Amino acid sequence: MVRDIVDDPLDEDDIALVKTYGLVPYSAPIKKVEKEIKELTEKINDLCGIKESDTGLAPLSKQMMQEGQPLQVGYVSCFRYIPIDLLMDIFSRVPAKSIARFRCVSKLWESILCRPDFKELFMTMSSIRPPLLLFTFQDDDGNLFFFSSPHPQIPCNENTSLVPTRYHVQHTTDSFSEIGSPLCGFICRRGKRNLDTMVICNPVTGESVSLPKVELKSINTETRPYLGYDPVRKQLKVLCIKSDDIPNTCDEHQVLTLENGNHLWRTIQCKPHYPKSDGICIDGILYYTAGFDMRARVSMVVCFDVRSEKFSFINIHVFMLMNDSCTLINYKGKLGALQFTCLSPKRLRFWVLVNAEKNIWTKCIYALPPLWNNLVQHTELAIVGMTDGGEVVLSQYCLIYAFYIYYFNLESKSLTRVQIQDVEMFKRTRVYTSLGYVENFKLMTDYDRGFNTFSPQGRLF
Amino acid sequence: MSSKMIVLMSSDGQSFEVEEAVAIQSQTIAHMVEDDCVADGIPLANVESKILVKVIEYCKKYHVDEANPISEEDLNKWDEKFMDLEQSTIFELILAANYLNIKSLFDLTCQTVADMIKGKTPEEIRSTFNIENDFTPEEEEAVRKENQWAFE
Repeated sequence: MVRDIVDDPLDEDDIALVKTYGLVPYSAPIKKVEKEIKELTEKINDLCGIKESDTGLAPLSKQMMQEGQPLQVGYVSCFRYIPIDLLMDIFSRVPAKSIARFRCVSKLWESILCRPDFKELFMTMSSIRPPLLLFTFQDDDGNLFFFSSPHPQIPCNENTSLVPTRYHVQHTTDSFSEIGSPLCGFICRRGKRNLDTMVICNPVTGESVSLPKVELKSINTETRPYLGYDPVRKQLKVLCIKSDDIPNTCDEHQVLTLENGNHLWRTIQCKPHYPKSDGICIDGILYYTAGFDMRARVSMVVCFDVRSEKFSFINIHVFMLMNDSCTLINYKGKLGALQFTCLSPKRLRFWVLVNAEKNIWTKCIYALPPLWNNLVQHTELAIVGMTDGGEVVLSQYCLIYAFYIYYFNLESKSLTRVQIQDVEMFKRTRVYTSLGYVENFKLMTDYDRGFNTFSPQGRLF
Repeated sequence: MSSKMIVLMSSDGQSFEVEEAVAIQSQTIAHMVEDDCVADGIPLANVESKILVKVIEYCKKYHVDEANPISEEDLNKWDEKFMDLEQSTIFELILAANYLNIKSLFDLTCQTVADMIKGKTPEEIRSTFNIENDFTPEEEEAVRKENQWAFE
C-alpha cells in the first residue's frame, strides 16, 4: 500500500532511507574509519604537545611557547628564532621614535617594548650613544614642543640641515615656563607666575609629573630648580634654591628625590645666594654660578654633591669678569665655562677649572671666526655648550624666519651654520636649546623607591 | 712559526681547524681552552657549518696584530661587505655570536639588524619580516594613539 506522502510528514525511518540514496556500498564504514583516524591523530598531537596552529613552526618557537610567550599563528619569521633578551638588545639600538612605532607591529613586540627591563636597557644604550640636541618651543597657549636631533657630522658642508624628531606635546597651564637643561631624559620646568610649582616632564613618554609645592617664605621669594644625578646610588634629585629680594636672608632650600610613590621635599641648609646660570652635572656634582643677589656679579660657582647633599663653593674672583650669561660646560670631565666678552670687539672667553682644590683656572680668549659677520651678523646667540669633539655650540634665542645653530671650532676657527628644519611654525618664539639629551622611555612608576632606581640592568656582556 | 691549532666541530659534523689565538676571540672557546678540554676538538652543537664558516672568517679578520695590521676604517668597510647576507643568515649569526660569546661580532650583527629596522613603519616591518598583525583593529588604533607622536 502506497503511503500518502503529501499528507503525512516523513518519519525517521523514511529520512534514513532517503539519506542512503546516492551512496556507494562502503560509504558508512569508510566514514567511520576516517572519523577514527581523526580522533587518533588528535590524541597523538595532544600527547606530543603540538596544536593545529603549530604547523610550520621551528623548534625554537616551541621553546618560546613553553617559556610563556604568546603564540603567533601562521607565518615563519626570522625574529621568532631569537630569544627575548637578544631581541631587546637589538631594539635598544634604535631611536625612540622607531620603538614607539614598533609597539604597533604585534602584541609580542608591544609586550617586549613595554617591559621595565627593556626600558632600563634602552636607557643604558641611550646614555652610551652620543647625546642629542634638544630644542624646546612654547606657543602662546602654553604648549611645549620638544624636538631632538643628533649633532651633524662636523666638518660638514654649508647647506647642511637637520630634520629633528618631534616628541609628545606637553600642555601647560603656565606660559613662559623657566625650562632647565635635560638630565637622564627628564626636564624640570618652573612656572613663571607660579614660582612654587615645579613639573618634571619626559618628552618621549609624554609624562608630566607635578611636584609638591615648594614652601615660599614671602611673596618675594624666588625659586630656581636644578636636576642632579647621583651615579653611585643611581638617583635623580631636584634641588630647589630659594632666594629673597632682601639679600642674605634665605638659607633654607629644598631637595627631593625622584622616584615612584610620594615625592617629598626635604629641607637643607646652605648660605644664602642667588643662582644665575643653568646647572651642569658632572660625576655626581651639580655646578651653577651664583652671586649674593640678583644685581650682584657672579662671585661663586656652587657645587652641590648630589649624593651627600652638601654644598661647597668655588670663589670667582672679580678679575675673571664672569657674568650672568656665562655658560658652564663639561670639558673632558672638568668644569669649564664659556662667555662672550661685553666690550667690542666681541670675543669668546673660555675657562677650565684645572684644579678644584686650589681654585686654579686656565683662561683663553678666542677671536670670533672670519665667517661670523656673514653667517651670524647681529643675531644674539646663546652659548649652548661644547660637544665632545671640542666644538662650541651656539643657538639663536628666538626663531625669526629660520632656525639656525652654529658650531664654532676653537682650534681650527671654523664656523658652521646648520639649519633646523620643520620648526618654521614657531616664528617669533623663544627657543631653548640644550645639549646632553638622552631618550628615556621610563615612567615615574618604573622607578621603585629606594636604591638602584636608575640602574641599568646588566648587559649580556 | 707554528701556532697552536684547535678543531671546531659544527652541529652538522664538519670540522674546522683554526689557530687558537683566532678562536679565543670567542669567550666560550677561551674558557674551554683554559679548562683544557679541547684535545678532541670542540663540539659546537648550536652552530651549523654554514654559519661557523662565517664566524671563523670574522675572527680571522679581527685577529689584528703585527702580522695582520689593519686600520679601523678598513675594518668598518670590511664589516659592511661581510654583513651583506641573507636575513636568516644574519639572525643565525646573532645566535652564534651570542652562544660563542664574541662581543664585537654580536654588536655588529645586532647593530646591522637595528639599522635594517629603524625608521620603518609597522607595515614595512611586518612585510619585511613576515610578522603577523595579531591586534584587533580597535587594539591597534589604541596603541597607535598612545604613540601618535611617532607617526607624525
